[in-house]
Amino acid sequence: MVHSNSHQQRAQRHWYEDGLGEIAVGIGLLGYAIWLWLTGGGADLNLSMEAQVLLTAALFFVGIVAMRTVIEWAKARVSYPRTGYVKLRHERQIKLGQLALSVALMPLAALLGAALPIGLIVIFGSLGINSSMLLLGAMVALPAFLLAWRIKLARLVLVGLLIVVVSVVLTLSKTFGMLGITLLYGASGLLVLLSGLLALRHFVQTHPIVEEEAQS
Amino acid sequence: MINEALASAINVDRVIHEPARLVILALLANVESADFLYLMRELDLTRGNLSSHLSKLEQAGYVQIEKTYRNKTPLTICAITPSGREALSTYIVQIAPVMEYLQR
Repeated sequence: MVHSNSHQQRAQRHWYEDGLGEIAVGIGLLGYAIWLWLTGGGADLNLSMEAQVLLTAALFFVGIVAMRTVIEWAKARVSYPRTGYVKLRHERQIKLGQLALSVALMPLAALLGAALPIGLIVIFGSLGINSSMLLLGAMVALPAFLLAWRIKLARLVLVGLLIVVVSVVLTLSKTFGMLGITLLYGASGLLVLLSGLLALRHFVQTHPIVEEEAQS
Repeated sequence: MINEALASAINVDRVIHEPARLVILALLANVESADFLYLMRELDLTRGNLSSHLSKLEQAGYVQIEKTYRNKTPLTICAITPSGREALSTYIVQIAPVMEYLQR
């Protein structure tokens, strides 16, 4: 079997090169922060805890699906005419179990996403240690670090580090609870969005659109 | 009498043996599919050169080419076929002994 990690890595990196994925994730995080700010995570809507979790899970699921669609729509107009299109080999395999995986994992991820911050605050609060913001910051930064390591994209390391710095600042300034969580998601969203916008600007400047006749 | 290691190289597939076609197949073997522009940029080939090599690979049945449109823009999607993958694996098996022989 012919197999090369570097080719696959290059193809994966190609997908993140334009910054559109970060822009979408940044907007998603900002949207979540606004949702927390306006509704207190659903608490201000006079909903039961189960309803809050279900609502968060539903919003998360719809957000992921919408994000994927919007990114592909934008890529078809901004990126593919400039640097071409490549479909990774594992995409078809993922597609086969995509629905089952989504059904199984999305609510679980949403449940953890909603319950873990609150759980951490309660646990560490009872121990007299308030490191909830640090833990939450590390959780938000972790995907950026993992992706940076996987596809060797240095700017994501910087984004991850800045998110950790934000969590340290929130801890030192004793900004905890829902306000702290809202500020952390909001600041993380802004950082990811800014990184994506800078990457997109650089991408558009360095990759002119290839003429139609040159593509076939 | 020719060395056994070198003898294996005599019968290599000439379609794949050409450097540009070899790298095209090697790249396509590691992705599901790629469009013409992506291949052109990644392999640093000119439009005419890539088009010519893709035609030869398509004629040999090693690459499947689909011409379509996206946002009213012509799009050429290329993918390696199962026989292309098999031919590439065979080529590697045939050429590997020569490489080992040269490195001794």
